[in-house]
Amino acid sequence: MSVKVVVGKDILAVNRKRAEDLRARFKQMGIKVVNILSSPGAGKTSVLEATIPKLQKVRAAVIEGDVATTRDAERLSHLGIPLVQITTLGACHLDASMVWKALEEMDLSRVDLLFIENVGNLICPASFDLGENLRVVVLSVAEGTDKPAKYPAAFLSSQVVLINKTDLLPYTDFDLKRVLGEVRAMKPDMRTFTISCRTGEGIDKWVEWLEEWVREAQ
Amino acid sequence: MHELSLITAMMDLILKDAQSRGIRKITRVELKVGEFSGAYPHALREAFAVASRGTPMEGAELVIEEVPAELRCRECGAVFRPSETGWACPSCRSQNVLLQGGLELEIQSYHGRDGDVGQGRSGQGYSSGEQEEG
Repeated sequence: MSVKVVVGKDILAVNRKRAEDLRARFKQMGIKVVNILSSPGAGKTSVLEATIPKLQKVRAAVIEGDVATTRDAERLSHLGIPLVQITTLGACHLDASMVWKALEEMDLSRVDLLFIENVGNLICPASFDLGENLRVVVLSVAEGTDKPAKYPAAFLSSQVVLINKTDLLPYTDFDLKRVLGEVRAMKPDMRTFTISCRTGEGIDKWVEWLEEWVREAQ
Repeated sequence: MHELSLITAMMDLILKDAQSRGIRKITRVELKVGEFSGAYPHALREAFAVASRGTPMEGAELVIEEVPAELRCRECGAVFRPSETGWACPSCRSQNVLLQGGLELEIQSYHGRDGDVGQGRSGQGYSSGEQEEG
């Protein structure tokens, strides 16, 4: 005899459940969590390097996700904040259970805002909820104009887009107006910031918004 | 690239459910995969072939229903596919559109043998079993 079992369930249901548990835990701890996505080299670590020293009203911590090496964590170690590196050993994304394990290594008792820097990849991380309250996608000018249209899941699942490396705008054919238009066409309520981690342009505006968001969300 | 993670997550869910029903062999799995889900059917099949080896799912047929991306205009209600030129509504040009299909990553059902579903045992409280001839 053969049996058919109707499941009708999300493949990632287990991750989603774990992410909901994380969200509840973060809420209890009074911590807001930001998951940062981008393709490799768009500037996720640079965004953290530019953002964290400017935070005045909130205390930050970082979980660094990398396929291999601890170089990104080393870049942030001088900031003197709680910092844990997850090395995924080849996996192309972080999942909720990795974050759960990383929390065992961290003292978050004096933290208001936890950044999770995902593995550089615009496809896989989009599907994995990490229990975050805000998802930020970083898109750099050098990557070209068509990223949002090519990787809709990453953009649709995010609430903020940081367009980084605006200092390169004069040297590329990146069409800022078109990208902003496309992002808003996809998601009318998307918040966008144009920044340059190299020159510092636009960072203050982003940091101001972020601090406000952390306080409002609490 | 993350298809192996998706496949192992899928297998964990099904194997646990099957065990609770006394199903010892899985013969067919039906998935729904959206065009914008980031998962590629070919890579899912490759991952399944590797990950299912030595498990009760080895040799099972993997049926993947590919769901095309579909947008709905919030202004005029038109339903359309996203185009290269953007996501604006082709009827009224509104940019107020909603993605209503294309992000799916779902297990629809599975088929198994040596079942014991007549005993009224349910899985994790989310599945329903139906018997069929076979």
